[in-house]
Amino acid sequence: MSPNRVSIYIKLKTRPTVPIDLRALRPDRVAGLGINNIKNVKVLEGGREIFLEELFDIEAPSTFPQNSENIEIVVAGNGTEKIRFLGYKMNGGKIIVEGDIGHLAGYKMVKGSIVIKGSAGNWLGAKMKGGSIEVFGDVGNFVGAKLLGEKPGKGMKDGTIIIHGNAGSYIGLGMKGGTIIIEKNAGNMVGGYMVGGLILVQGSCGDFIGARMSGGRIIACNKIGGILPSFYIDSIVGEIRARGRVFKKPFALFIGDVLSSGRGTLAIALEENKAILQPFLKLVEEVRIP
Amino acid sequence: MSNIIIKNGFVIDPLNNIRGEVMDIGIKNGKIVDPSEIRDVEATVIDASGKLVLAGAIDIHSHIAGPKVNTGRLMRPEDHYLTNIPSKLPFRRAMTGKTVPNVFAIGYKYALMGYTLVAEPACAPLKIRHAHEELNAIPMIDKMVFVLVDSNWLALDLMAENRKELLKVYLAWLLYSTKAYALKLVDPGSDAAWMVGKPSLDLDDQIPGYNLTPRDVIRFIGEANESLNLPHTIHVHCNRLGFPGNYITTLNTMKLGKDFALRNRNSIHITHVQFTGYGGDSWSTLESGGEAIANELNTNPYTTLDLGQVTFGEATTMTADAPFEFILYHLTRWKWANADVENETASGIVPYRYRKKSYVNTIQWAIGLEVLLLSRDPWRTLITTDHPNAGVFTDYPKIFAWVMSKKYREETFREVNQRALRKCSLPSIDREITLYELAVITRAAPAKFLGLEKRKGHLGIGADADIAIYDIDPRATDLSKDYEKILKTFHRAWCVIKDGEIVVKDGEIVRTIYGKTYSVDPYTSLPEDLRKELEKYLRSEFRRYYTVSLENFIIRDYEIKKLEELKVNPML
Repeated sequence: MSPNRVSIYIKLKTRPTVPIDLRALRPDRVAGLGINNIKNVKVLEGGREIFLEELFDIEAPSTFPQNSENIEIVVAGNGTEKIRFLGYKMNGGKIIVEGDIGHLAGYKMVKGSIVIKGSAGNWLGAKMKGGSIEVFGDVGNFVGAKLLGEKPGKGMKDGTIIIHGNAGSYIGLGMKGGTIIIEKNAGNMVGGYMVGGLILVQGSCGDFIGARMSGGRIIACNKIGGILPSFYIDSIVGEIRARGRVFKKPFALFIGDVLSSGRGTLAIALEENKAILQPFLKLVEEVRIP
Repeated sequence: MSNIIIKNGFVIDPLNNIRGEVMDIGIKNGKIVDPSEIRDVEATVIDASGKLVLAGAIDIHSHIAGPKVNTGRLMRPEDHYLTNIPSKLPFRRAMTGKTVPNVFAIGYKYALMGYTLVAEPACAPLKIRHAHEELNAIPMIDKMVFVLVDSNWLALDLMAENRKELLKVYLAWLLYSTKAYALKLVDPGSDAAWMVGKPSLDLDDQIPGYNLTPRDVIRFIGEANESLNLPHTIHVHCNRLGFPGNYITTLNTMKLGKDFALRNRNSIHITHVQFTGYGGDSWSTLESGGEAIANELNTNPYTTLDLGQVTFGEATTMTADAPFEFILYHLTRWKWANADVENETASGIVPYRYRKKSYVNTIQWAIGLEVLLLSRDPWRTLITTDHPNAGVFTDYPKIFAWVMSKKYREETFREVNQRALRKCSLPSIDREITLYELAVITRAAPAKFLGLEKRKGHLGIGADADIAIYDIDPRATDLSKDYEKILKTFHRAWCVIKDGEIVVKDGEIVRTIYGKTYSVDPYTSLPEDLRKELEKYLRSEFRRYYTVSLENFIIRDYEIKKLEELKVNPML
């Protein structure tokens, strides 16, 4: 760490019994302030408004730099999965969670990065506009999603979410841009209603992959639950490259979803899904496998 | 309930012909009394010097309760995400929602604007129990509900058999048993057609299965309404709503009022006329029919109108005109809910967004304002947004500012679609509504339409103490120049008194109270033999048509929180 970078270390005093709304603690909000200001940041414990120092032990230098890029907030302790709205509308800086995190982490975040050493709850990076989120454990449903009832395209707009574990259902629901990478398995409805962006699932996927998508790209590198009848097969390709990752195996490319007049691309690993893709293969005239 | 004296307010009260006088108003036991009856020491004195004192405003057409509002809430969760306002107990409960707010938000936001009586304009008879439950939960305002009769199979049967007397008794019974206030016709006959898969009907198309046309339906029900001597006229949503070129149908419907006028007053109310005032022959060549409608209104004394003014922004269209909602869904391709209510009516809900840059939406916006500004009689034109169909009711101050200030209109002209603007006559209209006329439009005229001019909409002795005080001095400000002031003033009343209680002070809710539900009872004063005959008829027909029994259909008095039943004497 360079000498002008600071680290704010907050640790839960006791295990909370109710959800904690930590949206007020953002690196860009505390930039230029000092430890005394941070103690008085208002957080919601249940429905009750209290000060940060009542819940957390705080270790921080006496003053923080003006530039939020040099500020790092570390959240630790027993019961961090009760914390919600971490990094809400965050606009720079870095947040590290030494454990699990609750719902709505990185909701509407614009810039900066969040690193979660454990697992994350639902709505991770929902409606985010930029920045990056990295999760080393598993995550819940609705990663990078829009809220229910909103129009397609109101989800994640830009930025990157990398999940080293498994993910739940509705990944990238209504997303418009950006990248979601899941290194293990994902649930149902991956990329439902998406209009842009990239979802890469290295493990298996559930059913209804790409349902009602009208743009963007979904890559499923392993088994899938099934392919919807509203997708057209386009071609078979020998390898797929996405964001610097190369998968040297044959993929079947589909275009869809025709229900929403979509032109989205769905790449399905060929070998793992032979049984599902068999009826489509004879529709493709030219099979090119290097 | 303490006594209140409002001192030195600038009072405008059109029903008592007060065109702006500084005077005192006394309130005792929820009624307005002569201020000399109350001594200052035993009353709460409100110093309203330099402030405008008006009666509580009345909204004659706003979808605030009933199953379709609830379905709208369910299908639009995105309406509630950013609009939550936590409760402030014990004064105020939590509010949420914009186009389809929760019951508390409806009551509080109306009260904050100075509205004290709101009518829910359409509910199927079978679903009206739900509407009453929801009305019971709406705080602050007085409310009423209109019952849908136009596609009711029982009524249509009676009309087809030309049993006019029994039809009148049936309608009287329907109003009595559903505790409704008036008869509503939505696209007459079209839901009967829609339920068998046929599209919308014009005024002279035949209703499938019946030897009737919508014109006959309006005549039959209008005649029944007049001879039952109901306080409100029939409330008609015209045929072919939302189709380009439909203003001809509207003009023809307005002319029908003459056919069944029996009393010395208007006999037909055309509602949200903006939606039925389209010229042209397709959406791309849409034109305004506002001028024609205003001309017809000026020459036809039997008709009254309300606007259904588009205010731009989010809206949720919800109407019993199910075939139109089906078409609107195919235009928007997003969400759609539809329902058939056994043998009574149908309904549909589609979210919609009115955009300033849209050609069609600009024309729609202009139609409403043209009708109001070109009609010469403010006593027969009302301002509504048909909440939440054309805009939310909290946008009323915008409409007030548009009609009161040419400057604000010109400001808006710069933002809207210019091609549409060139096709409208709105830019050439110079008229600016005065504050007195606004008081007529929002207070006196609707009270008169609803037949409540004795107790609502004015500040004379004996009226209900529903008073809105606005922080504006009309003698010191030129409202047509200072439209920001209009927007600000009418958005938040300075003080609102409802039934003799101060409920809003300095633009904040200070107390939650529950208003009355108004209904009419033309049935119990009918002759015994007619009632017997109807009962016999209903028993057989209910077994044939309905899934519920007659006993369960009727709403009892105890199901309504504060029932105010008006007895009327039918002229049968």
